[in-house]
Amino acid sequence: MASRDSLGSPFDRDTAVLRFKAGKDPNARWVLWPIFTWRVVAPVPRERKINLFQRAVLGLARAKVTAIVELADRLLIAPDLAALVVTELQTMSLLGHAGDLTQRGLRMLDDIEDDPPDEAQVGHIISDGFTGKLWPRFLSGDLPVADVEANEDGWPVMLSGSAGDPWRDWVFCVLPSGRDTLISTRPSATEVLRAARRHRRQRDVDDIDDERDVPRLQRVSFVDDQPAPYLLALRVRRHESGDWMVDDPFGHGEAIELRARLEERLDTHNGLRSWLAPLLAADSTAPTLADLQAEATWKVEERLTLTIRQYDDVRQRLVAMQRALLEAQSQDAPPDKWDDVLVKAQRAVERALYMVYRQHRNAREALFSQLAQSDKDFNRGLLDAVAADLGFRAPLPVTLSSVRRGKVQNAEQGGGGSLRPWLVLGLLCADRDEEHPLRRAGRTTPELLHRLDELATARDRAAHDGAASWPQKVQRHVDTAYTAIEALLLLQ
Amino acid sequence: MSAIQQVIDESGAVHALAKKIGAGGQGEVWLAAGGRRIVKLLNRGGDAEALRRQFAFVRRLDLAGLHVARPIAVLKPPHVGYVAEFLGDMMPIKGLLDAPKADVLRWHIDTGGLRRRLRLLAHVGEALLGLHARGVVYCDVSHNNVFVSEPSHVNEAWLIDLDNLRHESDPKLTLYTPGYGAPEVVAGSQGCTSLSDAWAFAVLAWHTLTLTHPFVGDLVNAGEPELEDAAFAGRLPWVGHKTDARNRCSTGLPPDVVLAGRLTDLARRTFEGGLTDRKQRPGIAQWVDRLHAAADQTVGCAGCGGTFFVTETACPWCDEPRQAVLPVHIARWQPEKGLVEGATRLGQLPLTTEGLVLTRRVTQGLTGLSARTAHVEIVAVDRGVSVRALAGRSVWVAPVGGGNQERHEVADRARIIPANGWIVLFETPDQPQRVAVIGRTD
Repeated sequence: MASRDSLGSPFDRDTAVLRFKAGKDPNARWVLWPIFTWRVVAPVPRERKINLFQRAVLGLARAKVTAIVELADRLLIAPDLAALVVTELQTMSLLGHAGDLTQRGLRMLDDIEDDPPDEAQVGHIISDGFTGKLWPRFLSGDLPVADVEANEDGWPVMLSGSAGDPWRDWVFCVLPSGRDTLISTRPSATEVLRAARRHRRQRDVDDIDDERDVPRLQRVSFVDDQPAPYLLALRVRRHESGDWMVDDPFGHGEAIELRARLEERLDTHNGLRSWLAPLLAADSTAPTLADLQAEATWKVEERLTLTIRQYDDVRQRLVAMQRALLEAQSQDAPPDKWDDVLVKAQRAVERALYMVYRQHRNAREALFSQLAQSDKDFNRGLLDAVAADLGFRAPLPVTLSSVRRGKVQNAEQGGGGSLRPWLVLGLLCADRDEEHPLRRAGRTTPELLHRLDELATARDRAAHDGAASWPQKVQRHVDTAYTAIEALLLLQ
Repeated sequence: MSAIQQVIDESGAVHALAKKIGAGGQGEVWLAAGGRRIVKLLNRGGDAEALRRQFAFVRRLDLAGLHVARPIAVLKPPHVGYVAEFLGDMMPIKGLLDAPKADVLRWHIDTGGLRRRLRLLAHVGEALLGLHARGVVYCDVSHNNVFVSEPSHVNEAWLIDLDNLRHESDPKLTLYTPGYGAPEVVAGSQGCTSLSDAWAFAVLAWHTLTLTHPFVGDLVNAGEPELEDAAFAGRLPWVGHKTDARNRCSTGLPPDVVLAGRLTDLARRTFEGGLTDRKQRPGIAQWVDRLHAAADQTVGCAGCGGTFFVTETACPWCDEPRQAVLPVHIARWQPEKGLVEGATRLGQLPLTTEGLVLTRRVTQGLTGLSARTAHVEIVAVDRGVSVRALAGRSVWVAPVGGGNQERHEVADRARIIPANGWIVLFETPDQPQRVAVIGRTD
């Protein structure tokens, strides 16, 4: 077995690129894969105008042997078959009614004898650079070397299109590393013939519209002792099912084996996974927790911009909420996953309110003391008035305006408590602080306090034994959480 | 000549003539079978030996990296001519000058509008600059010899007919298309120079943008044909002359709408001071810079789909109010210092929901073909600004002043940053570079 280590690797960024398919596909990703090509020459038998028996009968007719029995005797075939052959030749006007040779039959015999026996056909076969395995393909004619230009780092960029409408495809090169062993064993003639036969059969099945013919080969000879290294352009794209796939470079649909080869190298070939990431993300296999975490992080940043990273405590809680939402949305998630989303959404808003309170509190004066110990009507009146002053819709929901003073005190003094006490504390704080973000929130989103109260109600129901959460409503509560955090922290 | 079915070039290659695609005073142009080559057949009177010498001269030039259609081989006798690359999906820029009689504005927009014309002209100028940088003059800049992309979403421009190239300025070997000849070339007092190319380019730019020739005003339009000859020879004032209003033009597109003030200034310097003193003409490099800068200052109209200068408050084509614009300021940045002032301002681009694709001309200050590679896409979205790196590259985003502490890499999945106070770093943050400052920073 001939093998080469990486020191003598024939593959580098300047290696010529073979490309069988062009066209504009902005969503595809191109990967260059190392291959060896072997140039062979093969005699291709000519298409026979007449078959062996017909030729023999014509020859005998030229020698004036025309009787069916005699023909059968000389050719060692049954008289019935000899009669059939004669009939065929008569239909083709190569023999006359009496079985004698016509002028046309004579010309046919001369043509056959003048024809050179076979045509020589030059072609190439391909072996995988890493495994040495021969691909079941035979490429007649020249190899389609792609037009490329080097980018500023020296890596190839494939060019296609026209002068007036050019197109560039950026590529990822799978170049053998120091650990890889390259195999370039010369295949046997039998293997080449088998590859050509399999390719021919495949073309018949797939009905390929390709100018390249795959000839019927009977013998081959190698032109070169050594193979030529090339990088083969593989198009990776999204399958209708949402999964990713590799196109067969020769147009025979999906190349399952090539996909397997790429998968083997996703995590061992630095950069390959990230290059294919836009397609891998659509992989139909179940996403891992890490995938969900990464996707949730993206979603949170898309919704609130990268500024949310300045409030990392809140961001982490939002990512947890978003991840729970993605889990709940997955096909086989149990219904109680939606409850998790509500719990996490409320936690994110609570943390945002806590951060705002820390920034705007006045240490000399306790805010909770503005609330009556047990006079709920007084408290409701006070909070409704404050909310209305700030621009929020009033009256507030009773569940919010009748929060007990002790819970607000606990939030203010202990940093604990749940959403509603924090909202009341925020209202009291905003009433005294002209810069408090709830003032701006009141002007831009008057419904916010009502919506947050609905979130708290839904969360309470989810946390205790109640009816299952409705997905549509959960989505609305998630929006509420985002809106609240945007108003409290980001709109400055 | 049309009876010829195939020709043979000097290397022995046979070219079957498939389709005649042009004919003129010099001869015929045929598309060769296979669709990748053209064959230019010169008239019998053509000097085959001169052509061979010219061809040998052109072939010695290093024209790599220029959008010029290189001759590939000279034809063998008895034919006189050469084989050149075929420019697929391209058409002469003349197609952007000849406005239809009806619905000119719709046609103007459908053929790419103002921004595309500015960009195409800049690319034509870059090809000419490339030739000048190699010490040769193109000589025959005209609407027939400049080819541009046929699809209106692409902005490629190529020069054809390189048999016109000269490396010496000989008054006996002048060559020009009527209407494009510099006054000294038309008069026969001087040969072709880079400054006569600059004149012809200025004519082409003015004509492409306003749809009228810079010397064909109302006086020439209404006058005798001889008056046009006088105008083309520069013996009449150009249409925008500062003091001489004899040849004002009331047709075409208004120059103040399609040429920014700086482009009009270049035209004035060419067609007034540069009329008699060619050294006063601005060089093509200045045109290229200002054409790119002008194209950068256009915004799209949500109403008619046209493009217009951001300085307008409403679309000049349909009166639709201009959409809100967020400034994207290109600045310099150093790892330890943050944003730094340079000797020259790098400009400001208008960002709308249409988005901006910043090429490496903007992000890295490159010129020529490599500068056209798209680098970053910036789009105004509901909650801020979406930033995405293109062409397999990465960029970084960071709050202004926080570039050393907080920065986030962006690849081909867009990240949303706030609409104000953030910067986009085009290279790894550990090196000095250009950055885009999004929105206001105060």
